[in-house]
Amino acid sequence: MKFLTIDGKAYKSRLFLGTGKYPDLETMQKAHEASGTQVVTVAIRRMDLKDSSSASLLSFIDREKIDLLPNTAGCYTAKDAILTCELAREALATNLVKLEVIGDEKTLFPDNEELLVAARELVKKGFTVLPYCGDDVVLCKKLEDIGCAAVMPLGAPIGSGLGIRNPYNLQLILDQVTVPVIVDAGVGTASDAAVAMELGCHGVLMNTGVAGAKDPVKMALAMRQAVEAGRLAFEAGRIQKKLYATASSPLEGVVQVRG
Amino acid sequence: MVVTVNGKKHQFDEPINIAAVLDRLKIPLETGVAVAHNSSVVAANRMANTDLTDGDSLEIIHATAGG
Repeated sequence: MKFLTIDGKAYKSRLFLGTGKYPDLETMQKAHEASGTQVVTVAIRRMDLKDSSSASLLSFIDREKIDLLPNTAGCYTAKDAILTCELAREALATNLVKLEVIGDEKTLFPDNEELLVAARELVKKGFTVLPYCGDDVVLCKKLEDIGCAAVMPLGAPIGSGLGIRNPYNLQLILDQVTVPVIVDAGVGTASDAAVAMELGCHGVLMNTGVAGAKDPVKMALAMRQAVEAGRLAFEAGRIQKKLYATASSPLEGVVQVRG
Repeated sequence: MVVTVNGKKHQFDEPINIAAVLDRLKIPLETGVAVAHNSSVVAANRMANTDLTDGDSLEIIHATAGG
C-alpha cells in the first residue's frame, strides 16, 4: 500500500483519529494503538486555573509514533482560529493544524468565507494547514491554491455517523484537486471508511465513530482494516459495474444429460 | 491592578510579569501550555520580561481531548 504524504512527511497509516469522547484515557490510548494511527487531533482550550493537573492527555499519546494535529474546534471567526493555531504551535511545537471555522452551531458546518481568510493567513505564517471544509470542489480548489497541505471535506455532519452522504461530490474533488483529500467527519462504521477510501480519498479522520462505539478499541481495529481494505481496493482498480451477469466459468464443455 | 486571566478578573497589588502570574496560579510552564497576552502569543522565554498593566488580558491554554 502506498504511503500518504502530507507536506513532505510520509505516513503509513491513512487513518487519523481524535482524542475526544472516549470513556477514559486508557481506552483512548488502546484504541490509538489498535488503529495504527500516526496522527491524532487535540483541542486547544483554556486551562482550568483551579486544577492545572488536567494536562495528562499528552502523557497518553506516544509522540514518537503519533503526530499531534491541534484543531480550532469551537472557533466561529478567522481571528479566533488564527490565535488558536498560534497558541497550539507554541504549546505543542508543531506547524500542523486542523483548521475549522464553524458557521452554524446546529450542523457544525464550516463558514467558508472565514475559513478562506484564516487559511490564507495561516499559510503565510508558515502553518501546515489541513482545513475541515464542505464537500464543494470550488472551495477545495481555492484552499489548494492558497497553499493548504490537504483538504478535509466532511462526509456528513460532525458526530452524525451518517457516512459518506455525497460520494459524487468527493469524486469531483478528487478529480480536480492535487493535494491529499481526507474525509473528515461523518464516518459511523467501517463500511463508511471503506467507501471513502475506495473512492480514492487519501485518508479518513474520525473521532466519534471510534470513541462512541460500544467497544472503541475493537472499532479502532475495524476502522484500520476498513481504511486499508478500501485503499487496497482503490489501488487494485475495481471492475466496471454492469447491469447483466457475465459468467465466471467457461461456457464451453458444460455437462449435459442425454436425452 | 486588574488582569483578566482566562475570562476571570484577578487583582494584583504590585507590578507583575507573566511568569510571576503563572507561578502565583501554580501553573507549571511545561510542554502543552501556551499563553496569549492581549491576543498575542508570548514565547516561554519572554514571559519573565513581559510586564502586565491594568486592564490586560491573558489566555492560558493547553491541549485537551477533541476531534
